[in-house]
Amino acid sequence: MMRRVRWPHLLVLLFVLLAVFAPQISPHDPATIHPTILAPPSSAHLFGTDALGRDLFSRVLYGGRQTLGVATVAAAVALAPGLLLGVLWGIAPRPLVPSLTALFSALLAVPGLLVALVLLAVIGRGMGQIALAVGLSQIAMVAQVTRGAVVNVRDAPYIESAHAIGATPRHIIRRYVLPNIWPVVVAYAGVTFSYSVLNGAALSFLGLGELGVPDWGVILAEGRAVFNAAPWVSIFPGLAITALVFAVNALVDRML
Amino acid sequence: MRRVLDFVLVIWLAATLAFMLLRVLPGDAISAQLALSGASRAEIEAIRDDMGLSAPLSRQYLSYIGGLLRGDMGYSLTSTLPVVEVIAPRLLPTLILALTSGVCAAVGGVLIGAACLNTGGVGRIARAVVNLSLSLPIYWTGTLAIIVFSSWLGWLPSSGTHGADRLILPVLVLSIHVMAPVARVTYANLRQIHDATFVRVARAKGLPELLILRRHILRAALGPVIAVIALQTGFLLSGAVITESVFARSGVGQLLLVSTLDRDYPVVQGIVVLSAVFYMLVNVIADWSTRLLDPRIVS
Amino acid sequence: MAVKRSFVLCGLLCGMLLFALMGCASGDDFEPRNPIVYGLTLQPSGFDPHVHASAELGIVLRQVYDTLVYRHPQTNEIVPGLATGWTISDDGLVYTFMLREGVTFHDGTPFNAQAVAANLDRIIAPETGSQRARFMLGPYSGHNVLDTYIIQITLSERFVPLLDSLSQVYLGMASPTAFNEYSPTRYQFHQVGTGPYRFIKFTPGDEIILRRNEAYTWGPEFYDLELENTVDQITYRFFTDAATRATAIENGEAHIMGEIPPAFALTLAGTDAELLPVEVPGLPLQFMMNTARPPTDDLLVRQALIHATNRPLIVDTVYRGFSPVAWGPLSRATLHYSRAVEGTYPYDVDIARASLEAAGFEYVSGVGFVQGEDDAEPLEIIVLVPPWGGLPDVAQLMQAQWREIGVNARLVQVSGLSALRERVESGDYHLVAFDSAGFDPYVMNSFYASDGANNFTNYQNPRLDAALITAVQELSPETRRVAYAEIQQFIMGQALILPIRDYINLNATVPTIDRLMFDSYGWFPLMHNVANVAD
Repeated sequence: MMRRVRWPHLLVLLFVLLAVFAPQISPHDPATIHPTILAPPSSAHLFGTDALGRDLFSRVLYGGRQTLGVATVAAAVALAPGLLLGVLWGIAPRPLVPSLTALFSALLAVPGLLVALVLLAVIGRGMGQIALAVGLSQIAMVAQVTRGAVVNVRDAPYIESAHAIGATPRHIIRRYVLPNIWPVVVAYAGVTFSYSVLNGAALSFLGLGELGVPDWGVILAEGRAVFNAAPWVSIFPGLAITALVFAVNALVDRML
Repeated sequence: MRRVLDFVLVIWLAATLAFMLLRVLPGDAISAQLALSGASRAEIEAIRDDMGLSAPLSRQYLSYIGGLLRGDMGYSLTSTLPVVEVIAPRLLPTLILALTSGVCAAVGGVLIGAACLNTGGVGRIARAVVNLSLSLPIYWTGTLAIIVFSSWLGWLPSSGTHGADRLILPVLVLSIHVMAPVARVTYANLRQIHDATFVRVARAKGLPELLILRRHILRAALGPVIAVIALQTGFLLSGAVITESVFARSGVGQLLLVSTLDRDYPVVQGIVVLSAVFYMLVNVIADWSTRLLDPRIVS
Repeated sequence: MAVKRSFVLCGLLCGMLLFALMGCASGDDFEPRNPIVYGLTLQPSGFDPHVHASAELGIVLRQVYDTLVYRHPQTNEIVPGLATGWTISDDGLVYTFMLREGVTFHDGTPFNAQAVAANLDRIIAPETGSQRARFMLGPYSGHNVLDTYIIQITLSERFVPLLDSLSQVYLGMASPTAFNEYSPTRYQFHQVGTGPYRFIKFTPGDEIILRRNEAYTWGPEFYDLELENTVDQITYRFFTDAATRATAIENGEAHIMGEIPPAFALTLAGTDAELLPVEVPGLPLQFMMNTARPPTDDLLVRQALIHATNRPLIVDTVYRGFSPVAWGPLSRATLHYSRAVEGTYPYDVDIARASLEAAGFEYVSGVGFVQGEDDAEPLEIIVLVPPWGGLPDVAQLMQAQWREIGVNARLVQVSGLSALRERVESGDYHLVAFDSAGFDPYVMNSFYASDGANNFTNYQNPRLDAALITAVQELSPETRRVAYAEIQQFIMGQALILPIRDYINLNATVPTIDRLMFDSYGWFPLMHNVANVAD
C-alpha cells in the first residue's frame, strides 16, 4: 500500500512546515514598521513592504499560520457533526427521511458564504469566529455527501447479506458502512479543507478578519487598497492561497 | 403537488432558521445614528419601542411569518423602506451577473470538460486549467483583473454597476470560478458515456465520430451537467457576493454585506429567504430540463 | 425532438437575459448639453433629508433644496437664503424670518410662510421618523405664521445653534404639495425643492439624476446667475470601492469624486486631474478614552498614551501629508476653534514612561509595563477600531509605537457604527476611535455632557456640563468663543481624548471642471456655479 510521494504531498508539507516554523524562518517581525512604505520586492524585503512599511514576506509567512489554522479548525468543525448527521440521515427510518431531507435542503438552499456571514453577525468577528462560521456553514454539505455515500453502500448486496445473517445495525455500520464510505469521506475532507481556506480568507478579505494578526485574506484586502501603487501586496498572498488550494485539490484527486 | 409542498417547507425552514439566528441579537441599526444626530437617551428608547424592537419574540415571529405569506418582509431599520423595496433594485444587477456568469461557466465548462477527454497535450492543459480555476480565489483574480485590464491597459472600467462594459470583468472572474465543477462533471460523464452501449451501437452503425459526439454523447451528458449547474447555484451566489464586493457592483451581495455589518436584520432575513427561493427555483427548472433533454429519464 | 426542446430552452434563457439587460436602458427625450457624473462614495440607506441622516445625501440634495439661511462658503457667516432677513428676540426664544417673495418649488407650488410651517410640522411629526432633522431643531416648541411671508419659530429654551441648523440641507424646504402626496417612505423618490437643480430620478443602489432648474433666480449671494458652461445634468453614481475611485477619474468615468484615498491622490497628482482637499469641521479623527475603566481612569496614564503616540508620523504614513495633525477636540475649520491646544502633548517617550511610572506601573524588560507587585499583570489597552477613515492603519501604527515603550494595545475591530456603539455600551474598552462633522462647536455637547448620548469617555463633571450648556445658550458670539476655548483646553487638560488628524475630504475632478466649491460643512458641494468646459 505504499503510494508514491509526488509534488502535491511535498507542496502541502512545505506549506505546513512554513507555517509551523514561521517564527524561525521569517526575516522580520510581521508587525515591525520599517521606514520605507510600499517598497518593491528586493533582497532586503523579499516580497516588498506594505502600506505601513511592514515586511510582506514575514507577514505572508505568519499569515500561513492563521490561514492554515482557521481552515483546519473549520474543516474539523464541519466534518465531525457533518459525518455523524450524514450517517444518521442515511440510515434513518423511512418515515423520518422526508423531514430530514427538507431540513437539510433548507440549510443547503442558502449559500455557504451567506450562512457564514449571518453566523458572524451573531457570534462576532475574529479569526476563531471565522473558523467556526466557515465550519458550521459546511455541515449540511458534508452531511449530504456522507449520506450519498451511505445510501450507495446501504443498498449494496453485502449489507443485505449482513442483514440476512442477523448482524445488528450497530455492527453493520461499524463493520461495513464506515469502512466503505471512508475513501469518500477522506477525499471530501480535503475538499472541505480547500473550501475553508478559500472561504475563510474570503471573509477576512470582506473585512471580518482581525487586525494585527495577518491572515492571507486580510493581507489581500490591504493590498487591494493600494493595488496600483504596489501590486505585489496583492499578488503574493493570493499566490499563496492558490498554491495551497491547488496542492490540496491535487492530493484529493490522487486519493480518488 | 408534492414539489410545491417541499418548496414551501424548505422556504419556511430557511426563514425560521434565519429569524431564530438573528433575533438572538438586539436588532439595533439606528440608535447609534440617532445619538449622533443629537437625540437624547430617552428619545432613542422611545423610538426603539415605536419600531417594535422590544416586542416579545413569539409575537415578532408570528408577524414575520404572517408578513412573509403576504409577501411583506417588514421594514429596513436604517432606510425605513419596506425590505422588498430595498432589495428589489439590487436584484437586477445580481441576476444579470449570476445568469451571465452561469451561462458562460456552463458553456466554458462543457467545452473544457470535453477537451479534457483528449489524451494528448490539449487534454493535459485542459485538466490543469480546470484544477487551477478550482483553486483561484475570486477576490484575488478580481483584483488582478482590475490591475491588468483597468489600471495597466485601461481597457475596461474597474468598478460600478452601469452598462455592459462593467459586466465583462466580473463575469469573466466569476465564470472562471464556477466553470471548474461543471467541467469536472462533464468530463466524468463524457468518459462514462463514451463507452456506453448506445454509443457503441452508433459507432457500429458507422456514424462519424463527430456526429456521435454531438447527437448522442453531448445530449446524454448534458443532463447531469445541468444538474450540477443547479447545484452550483449556491456557489454562484456566494461568488457573486465577493465579486460584487471586489468590483463595487451594487447588487444583493453588497447589500447583504452592508446590512450585516450595519445590523439591519430585516434586510438580511429578506435576502436569506430570497436566496433560498432562487435556489429552489433553479433546481426545479433544472429537474424539468433534465427530463426534457435526456430520453433515458421518464417522468 | 429533444434537441429542438433544448433550443427552446436556450432561447428562453437568452430571452431572460435580454429582458434583464433591456431593463437597464430607459427611454428619455431630454438631451443634456453639458452633463457630468458625480461619484458618491457610499450608498446611503435613505435619501429624504428630513428623515435620514447620512452625509452622502447632502452631496446630492444640497442642489435640490434651498434653506432659510446659508453659511457663506468663504466667510462662514450666516447669510440670507429663502429668508431675506430675521430677528431674534431678546430672550433668544423667538426667531422671526422674513421670507423671499416670488419663489416657487419645482412643481409650481409657491413658497411662503405656510410652506415653511408645513415643513417644520413634517420634520417634527413622529410618523416621519426623522433620524436627524428634528434633533437639529433642538428645543423647538412651535411656529407661528404672522403673514404670507413672515414666520416665527419658537423655542422652549435658548438654542444658539438654531441658525446653523437651519442653514443645513437636513432642514431644506420641500414642496408641501409633493410630500403630502407621498408617504414618508415614498417621498424620497419624488423630491421637490426650490434649489438650482430639479430632482429627476432616484434608483436606489444605482444612480440619482438632477437637472438644472432654469427658473432659479433666488439663490444666496455666492451663487452667480450670469455664468456660462454651467452643468445642466448631474448623474450621481456610487463608487463604493475606495481603491478604484482614482482610476474612475483618470478614465473619465466620473467628473468629480469625493474621498480619494491619500495613496491614490499622490498618483493622481501626476496626471492632469485636479485635487481639491476640503477641511471638514467638527470633531477630528481621535481616540476617546474611557475614564470609567482602569487604567485609563488615571489622568497620568491618559497623558502618557498621548505622549507615546507619534502623531506626525502616523498622519504622514497613512494620510500622506494630506491631513494636518489634530491637537484638540475640535478641528481647525470649526467655529470657535482654539489655537491654545496646538502643540500640547508632543511625542515624547521619556515623558510617557515617566508618567506611567508615576501612575504606579513598573517596567519589566521583555514584558513591558506591569501593574501590581507580585502577580504583576502586563498593562493592556483595549482599542476599538471601526473600519473607516484609515483608522485600521492608524491603530496599527499606534500599537507599534506603544509597543516600543512597553505598552500593549489590543485592537478590537468593530464592523460599523452599530457594532461600535454596542461595544461601547458594554464598557469593555479603553479607547474608541471616532469623529463627527459639524461647523458649530455644539457638535461637542453630546460627546462631553455627562448624560450625553455619545459620552464615550464616561467623563462626568458638573463644571464641564455647565460650561457646555452656557456655550449653547449664550447669544454673544464673543462669550461663546471664550467659553468654547475654555472647554477645549479643559478637555485636553484632562487628556480625555487622543486627537489624530483633522478630517480632510479629498476630492478630485477632471481638468474640465471649474468653479467647484464646498460649503462650510466640508462635505457638501455647491454645484450651482460649476462649469464643465470641454476642450
